Amino acid sequence: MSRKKELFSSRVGYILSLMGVAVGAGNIWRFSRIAAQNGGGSFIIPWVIFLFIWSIPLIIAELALGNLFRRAPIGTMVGAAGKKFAWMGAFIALVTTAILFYYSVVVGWGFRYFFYSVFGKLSAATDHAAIWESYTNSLQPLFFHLASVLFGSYVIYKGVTNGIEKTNKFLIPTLLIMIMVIGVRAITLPGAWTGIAFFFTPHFQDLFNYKVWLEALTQNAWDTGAGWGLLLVYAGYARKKESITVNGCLTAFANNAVSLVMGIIIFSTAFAVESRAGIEAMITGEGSTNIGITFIYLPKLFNALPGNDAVHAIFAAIFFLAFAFGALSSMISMLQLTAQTFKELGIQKNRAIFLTGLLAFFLGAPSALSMAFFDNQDTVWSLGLIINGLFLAFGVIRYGTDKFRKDVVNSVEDDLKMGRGYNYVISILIPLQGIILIGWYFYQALQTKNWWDPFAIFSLGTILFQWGIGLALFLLLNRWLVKRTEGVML
Amino acid sequence: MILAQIEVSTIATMTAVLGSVLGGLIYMINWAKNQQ
Repeated sequence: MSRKKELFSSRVGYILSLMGVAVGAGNIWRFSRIAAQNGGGSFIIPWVIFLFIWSIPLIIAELALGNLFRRAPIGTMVGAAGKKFAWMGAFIALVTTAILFYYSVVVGWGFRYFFYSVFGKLSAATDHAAIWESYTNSLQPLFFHLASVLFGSYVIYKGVTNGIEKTNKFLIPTLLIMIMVIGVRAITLPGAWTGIAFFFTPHFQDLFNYKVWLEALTQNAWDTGAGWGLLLVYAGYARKKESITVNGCLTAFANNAVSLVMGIIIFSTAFAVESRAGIEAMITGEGSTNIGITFIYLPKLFNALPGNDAVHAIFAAIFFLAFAFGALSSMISMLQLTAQTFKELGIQKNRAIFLTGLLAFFLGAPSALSMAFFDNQDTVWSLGLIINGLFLAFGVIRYGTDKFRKDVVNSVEDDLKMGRGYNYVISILIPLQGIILIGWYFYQALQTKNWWDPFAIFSLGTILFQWGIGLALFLLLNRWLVKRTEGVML
Repeated sequence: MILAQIEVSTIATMTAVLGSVLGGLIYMINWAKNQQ
């Protein structure tokens, strides 16, 4: 009980680790595609607005909750909302853990494609869809998934300072440098400015389309990682004097800056190579899905860039390494959250890490071997993140929003102070946005055939079925969860 | 010459979006530096 808790040793290491959580696959493979499908400039205006009214307030809430309770999600929800709500914390942990299971598969894809690029397989290829098919139909994704889980588990086994902090101190600056390098190349391509102009040109009629706003909220929520519970876990290892508001805003702005740079890179390249057809490909063609744009459409574009095969290979290799690094840094935080939740339930540290790695491998294996399973899990749990954000906001409301702002958020000396407006955003705007978003999603899902089918890949039935099992289980186990987490030192 | 071909709304959106995100980032970096 008296064991001293390990903390992030430096502010830079802490901030880079927070950025490691926020910057992930969502910035790279989802942002540009969603921007293209929702009108480019018309999309990024609401996207920036939601940065201020969803992501930043929730990130600040997470850092403050972590700073106050220094627990995993279950202990945090018990501390903030009361013992009756341990199940909410368990659900937050479940959603992020379920994402971890298939996210390590994505990390593996990134590294596999980095190696494909280095060995020239992508430059020589004419049919990128065939390469993707043959790769995903083999056992290779399982191997790369295993390697990702092993590496991530090793990082969290090394601890916060020597593992998480050191790794992020390498991954994030390297990722930023790589993005800058391909950014410079992309914007200097002939025709690149047409793509950048599309990216920043609003069509004002789109701003009256509610779908554009809902997609912008969804994207901002997913690409910043606000409300996932991951930042909360890292904040539990920050030194007490670490700022909450400045670090929270810094993380959010840096994350969105990465998304914008990635958008500029992808739109510049698409327009430079294919002109207007490049955007069409992202809207309805082969680049219209996360996987399609990353592993089929972009490698094809890289091959068409000026220069020889070596130049194409270098461009692709840097892109896929950046993708893999971004995804890996986020995956490490997911592993940490899961292992910490097991620790919070009374499992000894090394056993908790081993159990996390074991579960991540075995429960992620179906996603590595079946794209249908992967798609189902992505559909179910990525929407669950909005519920996570709502639960965290609920925790703050139960704690007392004004008390939370004054005594916790504004508790650090020499930090940017939050005004009264923060109370309204957390207690009114965040719940309103979350409820509208979930309601809209459900409404859309109800229009589809077989919406009730719990075993369909994409259906409301499968979402409610899987959430329902988790929620029912945790509600039944609520008292046990409280009992197990009480008095456990993390 | 490139600028002449770009619409005013594009320049305005670019300034607003990049200004708020990068401006916010630079402001926070400066604040964090001064905290030390």
